[in-house]
This record gives sequence, structure tokens and C-alpha cells, in this order.
Amino acid sequence: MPFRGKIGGLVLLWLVAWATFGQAPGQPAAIGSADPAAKINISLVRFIIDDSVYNWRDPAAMPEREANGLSHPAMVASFLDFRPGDQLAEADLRRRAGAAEARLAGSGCFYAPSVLVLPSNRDPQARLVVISLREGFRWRFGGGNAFGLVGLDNFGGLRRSWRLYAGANLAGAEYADGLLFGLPLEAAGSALYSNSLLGGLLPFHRFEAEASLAWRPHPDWRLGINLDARYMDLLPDQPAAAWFPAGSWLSPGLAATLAARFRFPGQAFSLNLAGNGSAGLSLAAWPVAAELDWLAAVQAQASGRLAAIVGNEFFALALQASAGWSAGSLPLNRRFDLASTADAAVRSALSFSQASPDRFLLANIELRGPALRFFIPPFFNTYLKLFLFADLALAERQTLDPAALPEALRLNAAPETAGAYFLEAFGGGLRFGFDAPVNTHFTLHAGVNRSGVWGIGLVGSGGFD
Amino acid sequence: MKLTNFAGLALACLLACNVAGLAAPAAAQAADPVQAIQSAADPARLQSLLAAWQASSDPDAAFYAGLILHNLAIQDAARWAESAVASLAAYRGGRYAALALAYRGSAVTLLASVDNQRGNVVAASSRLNSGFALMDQAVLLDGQDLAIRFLRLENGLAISETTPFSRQPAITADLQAIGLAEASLDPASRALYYLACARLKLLQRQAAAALACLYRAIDCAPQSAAGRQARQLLARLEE
Repeated sequence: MPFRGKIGGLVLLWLVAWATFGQAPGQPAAIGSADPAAKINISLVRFIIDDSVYNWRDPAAMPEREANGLSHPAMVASFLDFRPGDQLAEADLRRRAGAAEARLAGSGCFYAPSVLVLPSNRDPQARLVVISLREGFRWRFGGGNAFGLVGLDNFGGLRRSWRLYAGANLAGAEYADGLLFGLPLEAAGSALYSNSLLGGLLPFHRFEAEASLAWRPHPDWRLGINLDARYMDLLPDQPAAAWFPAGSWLSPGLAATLAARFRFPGQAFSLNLAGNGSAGLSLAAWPVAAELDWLAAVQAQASGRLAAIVGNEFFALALQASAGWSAGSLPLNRRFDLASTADAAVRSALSFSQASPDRFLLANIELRGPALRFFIPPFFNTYLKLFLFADLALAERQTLDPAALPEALRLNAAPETAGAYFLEAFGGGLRFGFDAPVNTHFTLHAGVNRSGVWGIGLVGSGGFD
Repeated sequence: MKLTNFAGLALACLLACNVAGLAAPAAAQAADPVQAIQSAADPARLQSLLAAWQASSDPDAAFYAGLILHNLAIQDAARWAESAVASLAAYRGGRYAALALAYRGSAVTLLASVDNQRGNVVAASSRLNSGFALMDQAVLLDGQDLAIRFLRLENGLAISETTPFSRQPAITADLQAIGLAEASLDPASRALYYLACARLKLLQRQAAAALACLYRAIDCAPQSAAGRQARQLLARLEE
């Protein structure tokens, strides 16, 4: 999947959480160490992948895999934030081992990952880390309204993946290499065609090509650049022509991206913090045939999300704050979308005239209940999860005049003051889907705003995390 | 592409097979066809026993033949597992009804391993589910039979260790049932019990407890199959 990071300043949040939760709350006592702050040495990291055993003792010499196609030990090591020779406090190593296990499980590439910290029988101040896992089912299948997808993860055992989309309203391909040149670099590219001819409000054909490169200084952090080109052919005779005139639009863009995640496991509660963001420039050039004022066409845009989830397997409070800012009027295919962005939307019925602001602040708050899990033969590890939500957004539209739109596109609009308006939704939903080996997730939600207008939606996502 | 690696499943069945007659007194074991079958590890010997039981009019012959085929399937599932399922399904006797059901379930999971090797993940998952359903039924029929408990336990551990499907509740129930009868177990079966405890503790990330159980398994019967497997597992967890 192409890397789609966004900007977020998490350092302060991380410091607050670290100060609050301290060092690895709830971790078991150290093995053979009276002083929990005393440093121990990682003498060996052992990978047991299916029946292959690899001993990683020299940090500069990763063992070679037994055969091509099997997961490379370096691929597994790319999920770790420790290596042989590291000097760490016992509790810190255990916390890192737990986080590594969560990352390996979350990758969807392996079955039954386990990361154990064991005493060394050679040195009481040394530890052996045993990482055992099974090769997972690598194929991915899915789809949506009028398209299907097939893909492969951990292609060649080297943290590569590809996707192919085919259908009436979506076609194209994506490729990503998460271990470029064997380094912590992620390179991704995609080329996708889509249209809205099967029922969208605005009829268009769209082509998007994207390339990104990111550096992964830590398994949970990514810092990169994103280069893309978006082309849209908006067909005539559509109701929003006053805002988005028919014609061909081309919009190349360049953005810096950042993503980070922090995990604070605990016995009673765990805390997960995640953030991503992007900031960049794009060239809003439309229509393609018209003469262009290049200086005026360059637009800046930035957006970001921060999510915090505290809870356990029975209950969780999930908070997410999102923000977006754009300097001027952006073409349709670059505008923010508060109506249908997965996991960052106002989940009630929004007016067309207010769904794509120039600037916004959005809070998504969810109370999540326990998962009901059951097995549907032959291999559907099914879950159901209820949640309640409140979405609050403060948005501003500067450049487009709603009076130019027909009445139908202003239906259900919230009151505005100088282009600024407040949106809200309160409701509940059901998350359902299939865990490994299928790895497909959905959210069905229903929300109402203060005017009593309901909105119902189904998105292909398991919620922000 | 693998749904799972079933290598451990075959070994697990082999270990569990050897305790099928564990509750019987020594004198009775000598005359027990089940014990005779379980003590025959050589494929040629098993095949001669199979020919004899397939020609027999004994009311339990289909069970004995199915058991032999099951044990042959552990070594070559593609060749024998289908016949093992058919023979055990054809058994209509009452004496080994629960045990036949359990071995049939185990044979079905061996068939799942064949499907998996052939890349048919959907069929493998389906068969795995069916196999465990049969073993669960066997426990419901006769939960006191330790051979059935061991068989389900070993299958459950192998699957929980290698796939996204967890059998931990059933594993815990089987260990509790076997633990209640621990005093009556012979050393090899006790080693198998402690080895299973260690594997469950590893699934639960309780490394220190797992190591203690492994040492105990080795102490109980160092030369038994379970004792040897415990040493191998311990070697993977030690520097």
C-alpha cells in the first residue's frame, strides 16, 4: 500500500504520556535482577520462522534465510526496536518485546507471533530474545461497489506488497517496498483510475499517480516525501458547475509526511497514541486548456490527525483530533472531505455545500465496547463490536459561495457566519469483520445532528487506532 | 502459501497415540489390540496388522483398522488419512465409540494438512474445523477417557501454536482433566502432560513457568518421546 503519512507533532504528547504511565506499567518483575533500572545486555535475538531457526548475534550481520520466498530475518527484524548488543533496562526490553509482538501481529503477515525475553544460561546479566512465528496467508482479496481487488503482502518474504484493482469505477495498481535496499526505507507507488459514473453527484473520470519515499528511524515512525499528480475530467451538466466547472484539471503536488505511534501497555489499561500528518504544495491547474496564472495556482495545504485510545478488551475510550488547512481554493480532487473520509468524518447527513471546507478542526470521540468473537466455517474469524460516538467539527469555507449552488446542494446546511460553521453528529455503530487470515473490516454507523437529520454510512475500515 | 505448518500436528498425534491404553492395567494391555497397534511404529508392521484387521469379522475391526490407518497417516497423510477417516466413520461398535470419534477427528485434521500442502487453504480450514468438532464430540461422549483428552490436547496445541485459530479454552479444560489424574499416569504420559503445560504457558507468554514445566517433563521421562521433544524445545529457548 502506498505510504500516506500526514503531519503531527507528537513529542509533547509522548512526554506527557511517558510521564503519566512511567516505564512499562504492569510489566512482570525482572528476571534475576534486583535493580529494575540495571542494564542488561541482549546477547542473542533468535528468529524461529516456521521450522527455520536463525540466530542474530552480531548486529551488523543479519543471518541469511534458508530459501528465497521465505520471510527474511531482516524483514522480521524491521518490526523490532532492539538488536543484539543493546544495553537496556529489563522492563524496557519487555515493553519493547510486547510492542514488537503487537507490530508483528498487526502486520497481518504472520500467524501466532510470539516475542519472549529469556535469561541467558551464559551470563546472568544477558538476555535472549526468542521471536517465533509462522508464515501467514499472504494473499489479499477484497473490493467495493463495482470493483474487486487482489493483492499480495510480504511478497518474496521481503516486506513488499502489491494490489491490483479492477472494476467499473476503480482500476489500477499499487506497489510498496518496506525494506528498500535492505534499509529502513519505504518506497511506494500507485496509479489508479476511478470515476463516479455509477451514481455520484458530480460525474467525473479521475487518474491519480503517486510516489512516496519514507525513512523509518523506528518501526513506529515514518518521515517522508510524497509526490503525486492528480488529473480529473469533470463532465458537463452537473449541479455544482458553479463551484467546479466542467473540464480537465491537472494538479501535481509535493508534500512532506510524518507518522508516529507510541504504545504504553498496562495490566488494567493500555494507551496507544498515533499521529500522522502532511504539509505540502500543489499546483491547482484547471481547466488544463486555459491559460494559467502559475503563481496564483500554487496552493499550500496541511493536515494531520492525532489519536489516543485508552482501554482494555472490555472497554475503550478513543479520541481523535484532526485538522486541515489550505491556503486558497483547491480543485475538487484536493479538497478536504468531512463527509466520507474513512475514520475522520462527521457521521450525520452533511450538506454538499459544507462537506469540503478550506479549513477545519474535527474531534471524533468513541466509547467502544467489547468484541463478540465467533467462528464462521470455513475460516472466518468474525467479530462484532458496538460503539457510541460524538463528532464535532468547526469548519470554514473561504473561497466558494454557497449561494451559487442550487437549493438541493444546500439542503441540511448548518447556520454559517462569514463562511464558518459548526457540524456535529451523535450516534452509534457496529464494527464487524474478519480477522486473520481474511483481514477485512467494516464500520456501519448512524448519526444525527442537532437539527434531527440522520445519516447512515458503511465504510471499509475498522476504525482509527 | 501456508495456512499453517502441520508438522507439529503429526508429532502431536503420534505422542498422543502412545497414551491410548495408558489407563489399562499391564496384564490387560498385553491382550489389548489398541495397545498392540500403538506399540507398532514400523510402517510394515502396521500394514500387516491392517491387513489382518481388514480381513477380520471382529465387531471392532473397523476401529482397529482405522486406528492403524490413522497412525500410518501420521507418517504419510496424503496416502492414508482419507482411508483412516472412512474406516473410523464406518465403525458402528459401542466399545470404542468415543475413541473412534476422536481419532476420526484427528485423521480429518491430518487431511487438512494435505489440503494445506496442496495450497487449498479454504478446504484445509474447513477440515480443521470439522476435525475439532469431532474431537469435541468425543470429549462430550467420554470426558474421562484420557486418551481422548490427550489427542484433543495435542491437536489443539499444534493448531494454536501455528495458526490464528486459538483452542486455548479446550486446551485448558483438557489439561485440568488430565491433571486430576496425574498420579495415575505413567512417567512417559506425565512427561507428555508437562510438555503440554509448557506449550500452553508459552502461548500465554509465561516464559518462566514454561521453562519449569519443560524441566519437569524431562525429569519425568528423559528418554520418552515427550522428554526428547521437551529437550528440543528447551534448546530453542536457551542460548
